[in-house]
Amino acid sequence: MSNDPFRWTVVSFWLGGIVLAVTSAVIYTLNVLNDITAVAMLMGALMMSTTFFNYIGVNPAARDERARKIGTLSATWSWFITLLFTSMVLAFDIWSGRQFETPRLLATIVFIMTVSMMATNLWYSRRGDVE
Amino acid sequence: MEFRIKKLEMLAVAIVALGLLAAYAFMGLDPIVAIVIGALLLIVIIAIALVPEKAVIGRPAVDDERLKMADVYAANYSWRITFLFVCLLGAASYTHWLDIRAGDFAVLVIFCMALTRLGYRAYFNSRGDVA
Repeated sequence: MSNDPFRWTVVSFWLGGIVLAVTSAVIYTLNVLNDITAVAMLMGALMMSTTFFNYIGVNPAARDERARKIGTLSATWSWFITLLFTSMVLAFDIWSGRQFETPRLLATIVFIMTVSMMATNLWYSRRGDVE
Repeated sequence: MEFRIKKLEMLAVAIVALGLLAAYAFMGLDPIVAIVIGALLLIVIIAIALVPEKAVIGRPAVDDERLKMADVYAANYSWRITFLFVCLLGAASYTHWLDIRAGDFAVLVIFCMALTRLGYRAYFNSRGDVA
């Protein structure tokens, strides 16, 4: 097993993302925000947010040029997708009469943020170089 | 020249967003009207700001590495702050410390995303190099 700190950053970030995605899917499906799901969300959020800047390469100590490009671009795409999605939800909430409940909306936004971040990251990593 | 226009855009967006938020919160403006106008205005202005200027007014697109990096870094910081903000709102809702409707939740997330991105972009632009 390697002792490379960056490997543990990647593991923590992806594990946190998976925990958040699964937990938010459970919250949305069952419409329940109880102690277990709240603690799981908290754990996932802590794992993801504490390693975020190391993972995307913004932290100078963990800088790798390709990882930095992939991380920063995927975070930018994720930001944009989340903004559009939240705006659409707001429009539907007002005009279609489809009333979201707060735990479900929380779960949906967290799901979109984490999954879009991981998906674009994976896509850029597989594609090779990033411009 | 482009840099000055970007600064004016950012100032205009910040003033409009804060004004609408204040009107919504304190002045008795119909919340639905304030939310719809604010969200649409933010989406339009951000979309215009993200489109290359060649496509909008016939000038060559900005190809300045420093400005691009400032914008990308601003999106990354904004993503992380929004993520923490969503988790904080979820925790406040879960503990019943804050009784928040889904529509208000969405509009607060949109405001947080737009304002933090514009604020960080202004900060990185004024600071100089982001690296």
